Amino acid sequence: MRRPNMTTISALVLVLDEHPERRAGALASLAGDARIVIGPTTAGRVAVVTETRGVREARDLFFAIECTPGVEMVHVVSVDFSDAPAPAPAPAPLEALHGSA
Amino acid sequence: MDRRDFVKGAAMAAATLAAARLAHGQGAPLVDPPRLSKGKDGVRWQKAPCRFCGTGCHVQVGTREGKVVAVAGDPDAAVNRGLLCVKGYHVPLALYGQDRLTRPLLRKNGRLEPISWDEALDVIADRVLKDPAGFAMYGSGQWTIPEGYAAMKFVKGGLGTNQLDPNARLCMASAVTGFLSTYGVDEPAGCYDDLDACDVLILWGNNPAEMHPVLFSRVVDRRARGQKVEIIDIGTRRTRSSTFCQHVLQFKPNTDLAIANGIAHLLLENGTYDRDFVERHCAFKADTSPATLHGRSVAFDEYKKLLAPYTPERVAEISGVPAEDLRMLADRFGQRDLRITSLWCMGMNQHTRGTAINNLVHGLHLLSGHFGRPGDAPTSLTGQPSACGTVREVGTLAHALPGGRVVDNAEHRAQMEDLWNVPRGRISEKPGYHTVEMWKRFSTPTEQGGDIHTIWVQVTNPGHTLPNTNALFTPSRSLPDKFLIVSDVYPTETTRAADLVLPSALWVEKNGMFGNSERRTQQWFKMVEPPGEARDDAWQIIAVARRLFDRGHPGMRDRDGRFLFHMEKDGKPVPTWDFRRYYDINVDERLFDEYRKSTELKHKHLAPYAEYVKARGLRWPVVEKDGVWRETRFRFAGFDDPFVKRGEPFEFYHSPTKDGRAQIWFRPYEPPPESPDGEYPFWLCTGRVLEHWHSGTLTMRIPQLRNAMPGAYVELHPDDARALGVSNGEIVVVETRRGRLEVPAWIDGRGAPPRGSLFIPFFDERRLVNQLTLEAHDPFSKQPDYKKCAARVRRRGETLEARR
Repeated sequence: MRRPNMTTISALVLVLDEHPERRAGALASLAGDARIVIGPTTAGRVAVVTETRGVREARDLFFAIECTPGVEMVHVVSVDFSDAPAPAPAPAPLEALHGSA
Repeated sequence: MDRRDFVKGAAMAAATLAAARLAHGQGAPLVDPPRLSKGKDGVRWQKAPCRFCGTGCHVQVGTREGKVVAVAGDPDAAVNRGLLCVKGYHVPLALYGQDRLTRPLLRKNGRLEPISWDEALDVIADRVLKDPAGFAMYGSGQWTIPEGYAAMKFVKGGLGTNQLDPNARLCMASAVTGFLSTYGVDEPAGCYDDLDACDVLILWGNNPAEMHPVLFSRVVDRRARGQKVEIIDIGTRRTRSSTFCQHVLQFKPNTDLAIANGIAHLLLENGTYDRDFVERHCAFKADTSPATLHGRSVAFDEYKKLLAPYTPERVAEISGVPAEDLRMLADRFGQRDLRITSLWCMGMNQHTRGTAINNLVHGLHLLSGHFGRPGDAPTSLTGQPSACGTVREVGTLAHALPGGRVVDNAEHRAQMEDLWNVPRGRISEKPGYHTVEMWKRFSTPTEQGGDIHTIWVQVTNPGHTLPNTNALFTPSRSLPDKFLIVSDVYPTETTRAADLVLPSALWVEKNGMFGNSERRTQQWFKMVEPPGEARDDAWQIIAVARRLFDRGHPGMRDRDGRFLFHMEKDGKPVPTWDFRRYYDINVDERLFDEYRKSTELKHKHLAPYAEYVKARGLRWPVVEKDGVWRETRFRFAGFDDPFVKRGEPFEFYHSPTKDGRAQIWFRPYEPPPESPDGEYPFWLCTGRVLEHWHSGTLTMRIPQLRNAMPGAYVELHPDDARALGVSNGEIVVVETRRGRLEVPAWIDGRGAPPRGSLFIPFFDERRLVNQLTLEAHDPFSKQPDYKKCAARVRRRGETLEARR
């Protein structure tokens, strides 16, 4: 089902653990997330596309995938954020430091 | 099919192809060129190296309507073959933080207030003319090659001083002195291809899984394909890289020299060193008293005698590494049929014995003959994108000149004076101050010998990254005659303290060239406009030089009376100092093609600028044959290096002893300048984390990265935390003899420091760990040691007396 306001699309390659059980567990875990489309697996490498509401969520999802048991590494192939909203404001503490500027 | 479906389909196709190629280890690019939205909605794709670390990955940058809107790994780039790490993933977002600096700001009555560029240039010219000898520039390995070259020419060829040093002094200067004293010439002989061929990868205090993840994944991927690659981690704490290693050897801080000597001792004792390689290609050196960079030549027998005390049992006692692990290491080095690559970065370089440990690791490879074959290499990595290209090759160090030259060599000075067409004697023979000394003098009252009155900082953040900032940086801010100029893209700890702030263009907002860790020179074109009045750093230098020219500074004229940065188009001068005209010509191309004439002395030949436009970088020496510019992967190896005598398998043609031989050093283990004691019982180590780069100026403005790692912390061993009564997340006070810092505790964190040691990352400007660090530095490289000093920890509100 299509989700509204999806703006960031990332192509990733995941390197899976060499143990079949942990590999299967990782794929099962990822398949439960509607934002992740799992592609073909070739010798422990699986193609994945993620679709999220902007870059912040994309980044959070990246880390969630990286921390999934059975995932050894995550490579980034591309990210399209052409429809992403305007950048977030500067972090407050940094602004505060430069109040005099 | 709507656009989103098209983009998703293309993304899946690219990922599928990459996965298949990665699985089968094909040498072909891992992905096809990006087709995310090309041609459909006006996205234009161009190449650029990533802005962050020294790996030198290339990205494809998609722009539309003057804004970067997409990024992809560059499939034509040999470094990363279409893949990126998490920082590269978000590199374009670094352009778009909302607090970009957009106007020059001058401190008036304590406040930074907007001024015009014209006024800013006058202010800088005034500071120079006040006393040119006391005016210094401080840059970094984030300068592009042309920017660094412009700074070099301005200071050394124009002002006639050598008061120019980069922050790379703080991260890889010991690697430079290590290469110079071993091979007589700087930079690694091998390259990243070694990672595809090695059987054993040794990480010497190195954490590439977090700091150079694209490189590390090349090795991990090989292993996942069923290839046998043994990874050995030698460090003072466990890191993310440790989880991929078959062997993790934890040593007591500073004892890596004992370990290296212990391995060499075993190679000799077991007779497993490569006698043929050593006799044909190596010589031996040991320290003089007092120690010097080039030491004294010794015979093999003396070398052996010096190593004799480093028995496995003795080394185990010094280092804490079990004798059987030392024998395991010696066994690997003793096997000729294995290919061994060593990697290191800050762990070995930020060390008061940095030059020495660099020498010893090179020596192990030479002694065992693990050198010069693909997969057999001692390779240092860099943390900044152009630490090699801009700092080491251009020579933006206080003692250096371009192409491996040094200021205290009359012939070298004359060569550069001729190239720059400036009068003989223009370049001073006296080296400028290295970083620690420069800032110490800036923070010392003039009447007490503080002879640096002004520092112009570009592309770095010394208020955050200098060691012992309470001594080297902070005092200058209350001295009335000291003036700090800072060019940057965002507010930082340094701009906050500055007297004049200049807004700079960043990455693809300007033309640029970088040189990465494997001698690869890379080029990109400007793609989008910088915000507001932000301008190129090279333009800023040229504009200041011109202002000085107009005001009569004689150094800004060449022998013919022309402007030092005179450039022409169609026979007519181009006023590049006028920003509206700066891009009438490609200033980068002019500066680079001038600079490349200086690179042949040390066989660091570069191709013309136009060749780099076509390539995804070329590794020097690059030589032309039959109209084709050919790069070099393995220096000093006869099968690949065009400068090795025909028929010779190896030749170290810049040998320090002028006989074609590399030097195998004996450098003794010595205790560090500061060790834990009863008052300060912990070791404190500082470093980086995956999510943030350098002082976090860019990555802390990328919400995803900031969200993932929002602030600094101190890692503690659970037993230490228990003994101190500290719980996870609790704010604790960390103190050294130089300062104190309140920071949350992280117990069982990612680094798992051993008992009695602490780790604090340095990216967080709200928790400046460099108030605590030590400015003690290596005697040759002048690089400070950020990796070890004595510290204590207590709960906030708890007094020392209560704890006792």
